[in-house]
Amino acid sequence: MTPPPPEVRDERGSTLIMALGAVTFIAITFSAVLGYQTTGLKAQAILADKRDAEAAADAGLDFGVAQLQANRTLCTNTLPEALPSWDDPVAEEVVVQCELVVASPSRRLVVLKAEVGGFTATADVTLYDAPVGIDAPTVVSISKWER
Amino acid sequence: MPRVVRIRAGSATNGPGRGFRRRRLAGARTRAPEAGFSIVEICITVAIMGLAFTALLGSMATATSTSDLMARRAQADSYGRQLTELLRGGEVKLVQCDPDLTIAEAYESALASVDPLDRFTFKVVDARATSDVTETNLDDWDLDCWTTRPLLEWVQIEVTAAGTTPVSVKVAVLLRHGESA
Repeated sequence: MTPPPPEVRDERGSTLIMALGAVTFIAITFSAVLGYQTTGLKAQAILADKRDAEAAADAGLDFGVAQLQANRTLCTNTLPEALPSWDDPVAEEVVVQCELVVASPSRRLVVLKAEVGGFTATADVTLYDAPVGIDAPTVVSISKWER
Repeated sequence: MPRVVRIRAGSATNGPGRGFRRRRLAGARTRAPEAGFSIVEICITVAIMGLAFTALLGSMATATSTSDLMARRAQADSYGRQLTELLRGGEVKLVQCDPDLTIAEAYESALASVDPLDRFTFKVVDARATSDVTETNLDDWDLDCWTTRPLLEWVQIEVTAAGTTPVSVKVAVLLRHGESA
């Protein structure tokens, strides 16, 4: 039996191979575009979470300042002290801490720290307390607010 | 001078021309299974490419619409933050409560008057106030109307970005009032 001519046998399946090659190329290109878009989406989601955490931390600091204004017995020593936490309805619970840096009879400089979801914000707050016996609200001055 | 190729005829036993015919027949037998092979190949190829393109275009369409959704969500979120900054900065504040409005309605009305972009629709969905700062549970913040400002207010705003699929984002802000130097 005579074998078929070699040039005829070599062409078998060539269209399929070319098509598979084209599909592979297109798939790689599409995958790259999809990967790029997915990265963008992930970045946006992370950014949104970060913004929520920032807003919650800000709220935690404000809540902490309000606590210090309302209760002058808080944050009177240099050890870190936990203040009531702020239960943020949008983000998670915000842990608020304060630490006394320096104190004089009329004023205290404290550092407030608010932590939420691995994000921390700090504020340097000066509290001007009314003299003992005088029922007047504590005045606050915020010199630094860092996210 | 053109080259003349002499084709040798078959042997004397087979007679002239028989070898050529046999070769032709042999060739026809080997080529016969290839008849229609290309069309089968092309059909399979078209089917594979069709499936591949359908899947890829489908995922691209989904990714594009999701990307658009996320972009509008980010814009709405950014706009919401601007509104909360207006509240935090004191550019919009309620000096006294209007007895005919809830706090949320009063804030919505006040914010609408200074709407920085007017590109999105927004609604103050919740607003609460308290003069008791030790109260950490928002549900117990029930100050509806006040003569002096409350110490803490919590305002939640929902911003909606229009589109084929509207996107809504909620942002919230805690406002602290008190003596500041």
